[in-house]
Amino acid sequence: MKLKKKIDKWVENELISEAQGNSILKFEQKYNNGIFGKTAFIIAGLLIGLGICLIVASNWDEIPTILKVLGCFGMLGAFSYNAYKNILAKNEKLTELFLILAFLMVGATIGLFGQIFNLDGGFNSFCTGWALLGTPYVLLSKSVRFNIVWGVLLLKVWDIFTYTKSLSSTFFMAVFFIMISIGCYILIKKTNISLKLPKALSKLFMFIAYALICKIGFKYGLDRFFYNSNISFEVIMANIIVFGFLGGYMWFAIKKQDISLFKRNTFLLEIWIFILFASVYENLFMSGIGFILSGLAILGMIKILKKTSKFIQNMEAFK
Amino acid sequence: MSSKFIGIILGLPILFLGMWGVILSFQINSGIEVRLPIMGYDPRDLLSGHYIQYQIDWENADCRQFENGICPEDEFCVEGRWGGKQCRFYIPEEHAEALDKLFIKRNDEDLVFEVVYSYKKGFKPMAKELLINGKDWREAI
Repeated sequence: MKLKKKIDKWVENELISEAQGNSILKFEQKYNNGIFGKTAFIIAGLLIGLGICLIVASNWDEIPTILKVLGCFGMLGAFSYNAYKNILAKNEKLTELFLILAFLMVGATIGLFGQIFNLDGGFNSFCTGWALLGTPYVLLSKSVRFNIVWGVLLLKVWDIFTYTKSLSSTFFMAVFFIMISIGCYILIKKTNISLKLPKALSKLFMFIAYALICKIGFKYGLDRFFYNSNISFEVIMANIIVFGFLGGYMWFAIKKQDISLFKRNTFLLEIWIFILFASVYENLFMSGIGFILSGLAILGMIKILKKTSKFIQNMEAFK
Repeated sequence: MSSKFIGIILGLPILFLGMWGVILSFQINSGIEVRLPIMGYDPRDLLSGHYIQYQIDWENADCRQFENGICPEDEFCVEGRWGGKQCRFYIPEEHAEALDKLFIKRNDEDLVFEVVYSYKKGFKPMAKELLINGKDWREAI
């Protein structure tokens, strides 16, 4: 056990007493040992939900329509009622289970209405309807992953990539998502909000921004960057955006002293520098030079960063 | 959050879904019935799982069924992913293959595929029945 080993080491080096070590261990066991249980409950919820769906589906055509509707509403009501009871009883795991089941049931009911009334709506409108009607369950859930799934469903309606056909539109879309993500982040920081939704949305929107920046880099920024003497304005702009985004994020990580965020973005920046060099040279000799140059560029970047921030100097990654 | 508020929040999806169901049933039962001939949306794949995808054959449709004898083409179906309008009619999957075969040889065997819609001005038309030569599709297969 990782924590146990750490505590033993701290006790051995007289940083904490044995009694303190035991207290820490007990505390962690009590409050931070729920990841396995939570995941197991979520998986169990999904399996039971899917199992019920498959059993019903196997006899679907023989079941009268009214019975299907009543069954759907009955199950939705039962799951919602159980979620309600468990929220009041403060039983987090069962609450999550029933909230997920109720959420799945909302999707199933929409699908059923689609079948009964021959609705023409496509997958996007189904996702949006499901997300909107499932909002209450998401608001009550404490699972960030569940919230993210909800966000993905909701965003289907925007069909993001249809609006990103040029460098400028992709850039503005990325900026839009970064702004909303920052807005959600500020909301979490400035208020004592207990909902998981802003946190989930903040993560989801930033993930979309990353995807859009990737698109900018790969689609517009790799046009023989160093090789082509007639390098286009678009290529330069795309690289400014990629470096600006990752650099900005690294600056933010330094300010917030978030080591994992800093490491992630530094790693991505290094990868990008490597891709830039690797995409340019065409023969082995030139590729070799390219790789050496990209390695040196990365080392130079680390050197500069080490000199510019006290925080980074003390950071675990640079020891 | 109070227990009352949580109860209300959890009841909202059931309430909305119930209301939606009632509105859809009202809509499907309150319009006039119009019969429109159909053709495949994608000739290679008319049947896709539990539903058939089709287009309305407006050239052969009887527009006298509608007000002023004008077919309200824009009101029917939704924009398809590959252009044109696309409509759906749900069928049990086990009959999909038989129906698909019938549809493919409809010209050779003089089969007319039609969909009966519930139409009411200002509301989305809703497909009620699929007919083959004027009879319910189940009889034809």
